[in-house]
Amino acid sequence: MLTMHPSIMLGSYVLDEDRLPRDEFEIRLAPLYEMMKTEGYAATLVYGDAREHEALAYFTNFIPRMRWAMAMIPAQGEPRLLISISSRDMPAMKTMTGIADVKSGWEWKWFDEFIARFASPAKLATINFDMMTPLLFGQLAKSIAERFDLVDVDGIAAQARAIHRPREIAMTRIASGIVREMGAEIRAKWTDGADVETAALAGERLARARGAQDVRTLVSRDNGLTLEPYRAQFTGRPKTLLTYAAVKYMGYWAETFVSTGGAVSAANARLETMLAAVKPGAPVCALAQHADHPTLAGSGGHRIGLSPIEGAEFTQHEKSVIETNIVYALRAGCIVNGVGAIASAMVCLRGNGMLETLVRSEMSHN
Amino acid sequence: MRRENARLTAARAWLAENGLDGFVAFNDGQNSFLDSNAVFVFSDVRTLGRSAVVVARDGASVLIAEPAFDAARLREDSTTQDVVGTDDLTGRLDQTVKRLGLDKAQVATVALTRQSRKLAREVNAMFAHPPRAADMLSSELARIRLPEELAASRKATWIAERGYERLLEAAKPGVREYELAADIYTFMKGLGAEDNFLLMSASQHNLAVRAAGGRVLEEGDIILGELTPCYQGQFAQICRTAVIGKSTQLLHDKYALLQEAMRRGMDAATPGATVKQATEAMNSVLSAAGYGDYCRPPYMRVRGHGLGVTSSQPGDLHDASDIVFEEGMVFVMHPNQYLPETGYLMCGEPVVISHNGAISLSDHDAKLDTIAT
Repeated sequence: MLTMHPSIMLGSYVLDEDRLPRDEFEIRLAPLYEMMKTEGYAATLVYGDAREHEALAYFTNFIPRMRWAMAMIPAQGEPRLLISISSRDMPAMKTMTGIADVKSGWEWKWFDEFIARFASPAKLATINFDMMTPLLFGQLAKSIAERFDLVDVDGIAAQARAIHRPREIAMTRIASGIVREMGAEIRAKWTDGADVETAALAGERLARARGAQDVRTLVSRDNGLTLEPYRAQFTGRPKTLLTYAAVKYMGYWAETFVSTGGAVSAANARLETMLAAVKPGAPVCALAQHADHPTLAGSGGHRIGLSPIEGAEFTQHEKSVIETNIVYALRAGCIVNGVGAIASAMVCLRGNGMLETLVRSEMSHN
Repeated sequence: MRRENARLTAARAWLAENGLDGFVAFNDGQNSFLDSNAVFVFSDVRTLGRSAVVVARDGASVLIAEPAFDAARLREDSTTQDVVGTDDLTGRLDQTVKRLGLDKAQVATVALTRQSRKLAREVNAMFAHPPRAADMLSSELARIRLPEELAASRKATWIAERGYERLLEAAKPGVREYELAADIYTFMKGLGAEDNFLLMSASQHNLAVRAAGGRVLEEGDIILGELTPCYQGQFAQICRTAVIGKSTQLLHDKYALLQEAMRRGMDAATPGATVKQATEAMNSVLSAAGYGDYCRPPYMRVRGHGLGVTSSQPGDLHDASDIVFEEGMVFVMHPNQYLPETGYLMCGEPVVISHNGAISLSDHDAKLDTIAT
């Protein structure tokens, strides 16, 4: 779900090398090094910003809390991470990545010095440069002038991340545990008589106290028909509850919905049907028919991991199929007698055919 | 009845002066507390996804925003004449420009070069020739706070001060930084802060303030807090320093340098004075105490800065800025400084420029606080 982007991401982003050791990133980077060797690229430049940074985080663990960052990974030699932040903040930034050479992107000489390592003409592979601003791209283009060709390798980066690695699924499992607790807290506060924003805020407080790096919520004021971001109104209590909650833990997102009221049974039944269809090779477009709620925009779900929305939405036009070892966020929704509900589950189909449910939505009739 | 947006009135005057039919202001859904959000300036709302505001010289104004399901909220809150909720921003934008009868050759863009290249490419494809870019228009038009905006800045400052009081109550040895941050962040959110650029960290010798991590607070820690709640689109920032346990005379003496620098900076920030002059006034205190070499990164960043999301003016407070202060500008002034004896210390207030200098919006200006154990 699209949610309100905060001006800064809070929470602890320090790299935990017990959970994500150096060799994990060597494995993740191997396809990029192979590509550079095969295609003759001098380096790969991976861009990310505060809103979308899944590739950057995957290859470096670094997540920009604000503005942007760019990893510059040479085919040979040590990588450099350029971050749009003051040199004052470099000591803190260095704790967030295994890359030793971390520099302020406000001093563009560090980019120029990096590309000066390579004899021109040469080719530089780029990842997610479409997300860069024209202003920054202009600065970069001026530096490389006619000396280097930029080659978009977004597809290769996506292929490198085709499935979720075991450590990724492990981190997502922890995030799922936090969002499950958050959902239970929201429902408990609602049951105690709180308004929707107070209930959502209680859930957010719990998740942040558990170490969540980011927390997003949407609430409904109209009996589950629409969702909206926090507005600090703390008034009104619709007949039914519909809340979306998402948390990020060590870079990995998990999400859930909390619903009450008369449409819950129908939404749950749709989710059951959806889950029964989650088989290896099953077309994801078949899931779209169960997303009969206006906030879902005809999508039955998507991948979830380093981004709350990884890859394509599962609409009726999407061509991909269900695969093993990928974490999916699935949603089924409906409106019954003017009341809306959404049932959701995060699932992962394991290699042995077992469907693991990481978290399932909090649902109750009242 | 829909509220009047004074920025739209000023924008139409700008269009007339420049002989343009209209402009389109953009935001890709990111929020920065340092930058102007052009869509917010011309609509009074922050959107979840990509958005644009079309402003025509003849008076029409339309907010177009993703996703479609957010339309009801936007219709309630937006000060534009019309609101379109959509899952296809550029498609609906093209339709809107045509519906309003705007000559595309006479349409400018605002902040498009600060969004993604993908969005810029999609928008530019709508035009036969690249449209004129007026990227700073929203920040320029909004550089003086309106009375209601100043009132919101005061409320944001009030929330920040309550948040700091909460920090002083909740901080104690054994608490993790992120647990403390969770407490004060959600506390301020409960008071109405829809966003918060909250940095809060602790160490026995800080190099700088940073976002809260997993460190467990200890006696003798110096807690640095940069509390920056946003209320109705107005960020306000206070910078605070507190010691867990007893503080030393040395620490008090050094902190007094920052307080004096703050006073000098506020006195120097009069209408007509430059940012450079106020910065030099602050730096002069530290230089006189022997810390002239430390008045630069990485020992500090800047002596203050503008506060989004309305306007980034007057920009960063540093000694190379010739930007001139104007009455009614709101920004944060903070002579935060690393000192070899104490580490990084923080002291700063949101201020508004008056005819005789900067006035703090805080009820209680920064002092070195201690937290009993």
